[in-house]
Amino acid sequence: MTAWLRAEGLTKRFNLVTAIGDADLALEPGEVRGVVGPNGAGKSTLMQMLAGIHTVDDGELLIDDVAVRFRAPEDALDAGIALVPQEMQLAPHLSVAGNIVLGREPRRRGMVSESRSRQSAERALGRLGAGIDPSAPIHTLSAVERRLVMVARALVSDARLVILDEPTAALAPHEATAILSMVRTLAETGVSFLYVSHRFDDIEAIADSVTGVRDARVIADLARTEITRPRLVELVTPVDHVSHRVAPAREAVAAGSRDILVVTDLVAGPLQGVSVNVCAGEIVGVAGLAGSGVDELMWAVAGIDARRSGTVVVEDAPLRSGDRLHAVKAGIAYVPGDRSLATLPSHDVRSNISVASLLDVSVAGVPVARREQSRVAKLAERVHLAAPLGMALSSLSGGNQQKAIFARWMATDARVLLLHDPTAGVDVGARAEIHQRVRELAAEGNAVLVVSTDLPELIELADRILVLDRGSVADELVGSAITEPAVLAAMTSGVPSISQTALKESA
Amino acid sequence: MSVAAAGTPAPAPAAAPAARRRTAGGTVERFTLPAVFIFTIVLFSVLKPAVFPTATNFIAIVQQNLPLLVLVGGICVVLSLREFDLSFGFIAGASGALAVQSMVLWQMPWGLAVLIGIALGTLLGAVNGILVAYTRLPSFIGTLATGATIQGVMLAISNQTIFSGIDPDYINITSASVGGFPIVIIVVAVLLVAVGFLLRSTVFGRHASAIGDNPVAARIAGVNVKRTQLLSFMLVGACAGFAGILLTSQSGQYYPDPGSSLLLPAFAAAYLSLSLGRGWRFNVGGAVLGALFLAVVSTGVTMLNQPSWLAQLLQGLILLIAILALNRRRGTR
Repeated sequence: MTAWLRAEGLTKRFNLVTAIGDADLALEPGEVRGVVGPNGAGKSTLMQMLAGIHTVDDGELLIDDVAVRFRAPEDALDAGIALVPQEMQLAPHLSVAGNIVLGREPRRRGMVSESRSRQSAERALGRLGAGIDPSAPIHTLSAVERRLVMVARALVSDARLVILDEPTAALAPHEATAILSMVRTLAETGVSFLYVSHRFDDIEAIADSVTGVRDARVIADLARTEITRPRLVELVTPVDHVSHRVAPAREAVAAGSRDILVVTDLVAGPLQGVSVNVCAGEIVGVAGLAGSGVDELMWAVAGIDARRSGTVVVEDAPLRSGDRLHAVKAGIAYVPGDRSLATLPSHDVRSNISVASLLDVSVAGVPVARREQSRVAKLAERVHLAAPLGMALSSLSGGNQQKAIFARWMATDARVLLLHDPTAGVDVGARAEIHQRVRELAAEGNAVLVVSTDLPELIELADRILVLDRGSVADELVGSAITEPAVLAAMTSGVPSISQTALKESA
Repeated sequence: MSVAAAGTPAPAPAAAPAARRRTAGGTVERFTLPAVFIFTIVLFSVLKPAVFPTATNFIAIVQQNLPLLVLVGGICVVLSLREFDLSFGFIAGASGALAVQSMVLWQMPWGLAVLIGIALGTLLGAVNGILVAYTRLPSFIGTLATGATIQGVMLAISNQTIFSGIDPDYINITSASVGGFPIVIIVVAVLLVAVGFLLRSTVFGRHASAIGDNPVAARIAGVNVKRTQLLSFMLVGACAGFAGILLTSQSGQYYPDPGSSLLLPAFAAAYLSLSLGRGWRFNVGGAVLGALFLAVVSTGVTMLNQPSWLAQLLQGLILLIAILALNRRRGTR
């Protein structure tokens, strides 16, 4: 068989930054190609170019040896390429059939034909081998059934290529199996797949070939026989020139140091009884794949989301569940990488820094401008923030925005620092500076808990790393045991998943 | 809702020149409205030199619009939280009705009647606040619903026009003057300065503005979002209660639904304030200026013996153009 789709030298630039450059890709009918790489490597941009969401800056896309140019996602759909994004929205109160034909409703005399909608939905679901009632409203469906409906949507438009972005990220292992068998079934009918995933179990179970993407380039094209765990691990490990591990100058945390943050048997979202202690001066890292519960751990400890059970105690004071105000008063700072959770974009730098500590500079509920200014200026200097304080925060670079958020929490008397991907979207120079601030804050006797998808960051910062897998602590690494292969291994194979077992049985 | 979209965090523009360009464009727009305002006054003064540019006329314009100005002050506070209050006209009506009835039916002194009216307004505002802050009702539809309910309560309190039994001192609230200058203007001016200060310079106002910019980030930063929302709605309610007193005192009678005609001009004035502030900020000073601008247009049109539909049409167009100009500014950021 020969490839029906070829991408040659595809390039996409945003402003002057190349998101993906010179990418080659070929797909045969019925081929399932895994796409693997670290966050921000350019996988999504490449997929979005194929699906017509981004226009191609350079390079060529050939379908059946004819060059095509997509101006909009509709063009890609017409050419038989459908993208199922990780965060796809379905209309929750429409029926399954209504969602599947949405936007391409079969018409009869200008009216939507209910019966024909239902027929084409049934046909698409049948091809998937999914026993879902087409008339059921979407909100009654499970996560895995919704995912199948998304794929059925692609099939209605007669897709020859379905791009799945992290289709099993939020699913339990047995649910993931349903997605994998669906992919297999469809691939046998000649539909090609691009399967973007961080889950190596999935890739090993179904991929016929693997494309590795890193640092905005395609760095590997593996055939079926070359897909092994070590090769895959190698693909996602960033070669990092700047943030290589600096020999930590600080002494190890004194044994018997006081616990500042004590989390016991936390149950929230996918978390099933997670316990973490962080003592004064300690930096504890938490690693885990999407869906492992690392995000929910942060949100529950920060008081942003409620927990179902378990306790969170800061300096012997228990915190109320889901009460962010109480958590702030107890001294829990939260620095997210997702800056839409932290910034006041149209406020100036000064207000962004002082918003959490306005009462401290106030007399009778009125902030004293002079006191606020001197305090903010001092903090801006401490975090090495060079931007003018009167500038709107949204006009600052990501790194400077992040420094301002650090300064905000330094203005409060925070004892616990929760860092959630603290350097996401930050350039390397700012990243090193932010890491230095984190070490300083820990050295002052604060407790620091870091969650990061950026493994070198965790390894560089943390004294101790907990690895979460499917809602429980799978492993704990301390000191010299903290290495990238060790953390990755614990993240990806803490518990053998069903799909992997199934593969071994079939082999 | 355009307001809801306003706070959506825009992706950070990387280029500094873009930021400079925006600042310059904003400055031009900030002075457009005052310039048009002055031009309008000059135009009417030239066309009607004998009656328009007189102190008596300006005092009359301000005096007629006092209830609107009080409402505008309150509405700026909820709008800066990125919430709506569509019920304030009905709150004003209900408060006016209760104040008048407490004098007519229960022979209460006028001072107590005023307090009862303002208290009812505050209470109804608190109901709105609790619904929005603690039951997470969307304020747009929520206050539309409470507004309709309050309208029912208002008609129950007094389902007909009341002419007699109103204490002359109550009517004096808006008519008493010292040397030809109405005292109530000073009272309202003090109130508006206080609300403006509250919104601009206090911790409460700074928190309100943070919530309007990004409610999620404000909550995570430790801002008491719910309390701020509740207090803001109570403040609007109190302002509406006071406006209801002024409306009934001015007319010397109670007529059903006196406040509903103020809904549109109050929002229009508040949105005009956006073009006078830095960034996307509702401010009381700008809103007062906006309200007076709209009032001057309608007075001037009337003085020129033009039909009243022309005043309506011009007011609508002014608001439309101001909002379009703002949209263009937001688009460039």
